[in-house]
Amino acid sequence: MIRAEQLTNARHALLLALGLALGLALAAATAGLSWEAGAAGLGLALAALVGLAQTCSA
Amino acid sequence: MEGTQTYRRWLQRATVYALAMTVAGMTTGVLVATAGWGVEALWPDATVPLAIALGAVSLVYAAHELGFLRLPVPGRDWQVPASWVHGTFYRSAVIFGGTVGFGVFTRVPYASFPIMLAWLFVSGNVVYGALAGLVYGATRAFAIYSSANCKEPGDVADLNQRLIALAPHVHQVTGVALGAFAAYLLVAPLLS
Repeated sequence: MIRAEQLTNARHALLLALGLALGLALAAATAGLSWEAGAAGLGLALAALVGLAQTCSA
Repeated sequence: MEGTQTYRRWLQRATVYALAMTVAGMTTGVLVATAGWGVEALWPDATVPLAIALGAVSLVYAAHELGFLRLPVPGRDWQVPASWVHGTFYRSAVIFGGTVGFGVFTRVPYASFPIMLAWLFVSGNVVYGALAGLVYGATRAFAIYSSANCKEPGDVADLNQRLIALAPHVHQVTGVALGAFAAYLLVAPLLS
């Protein structure tokens, strides 16, 4: 049981690291350009995700 | 023939619901972005510090979505009263879709929603707020079409159960998205 919980935590830590890495990669790729444009794109993606995620709520 | 007409009426009602929800989402986006525009007019240099602060908050809520922390998600547990949707066929679809579509009156269990609204505030761009709100409302409304093949009330309940069972995975996906958004907001303004 404890092992399953540890595995879940490790998987979630990897997911968090993946998200952070994606954001950092995008920031590096757009360095020198307008940061607002990149954030606007991410914000639109987030808006779509929030809307779709609501489908799976009680 | 009767089945076709019933389906057509359902499709019309679903589309009215979806349109009301999309317009309501867009309205929320416009209002929040307009408030941000007002603040930006008063403090033009506030955008970058606010974006970085939002990045920090997003990081904390990414940890929340992935189960490392337990934080309150801003929102309300209010539900649309049943008496409001007992009106005519299309009016009830407009009232329900419109009220829920605003997003701020009813329960939203995902931390990404208040983070999205906070970003619209920080951006202070009314046109962008309208676009993001439209995207939110339209994608949220899209779910109504997933029940197109449900013939019996029990089918809808089964579909809802299957969708709710996906919620833990959806929280993980939103955790990844919030992590990416956080990292970008914390770093990108300093590199530009």
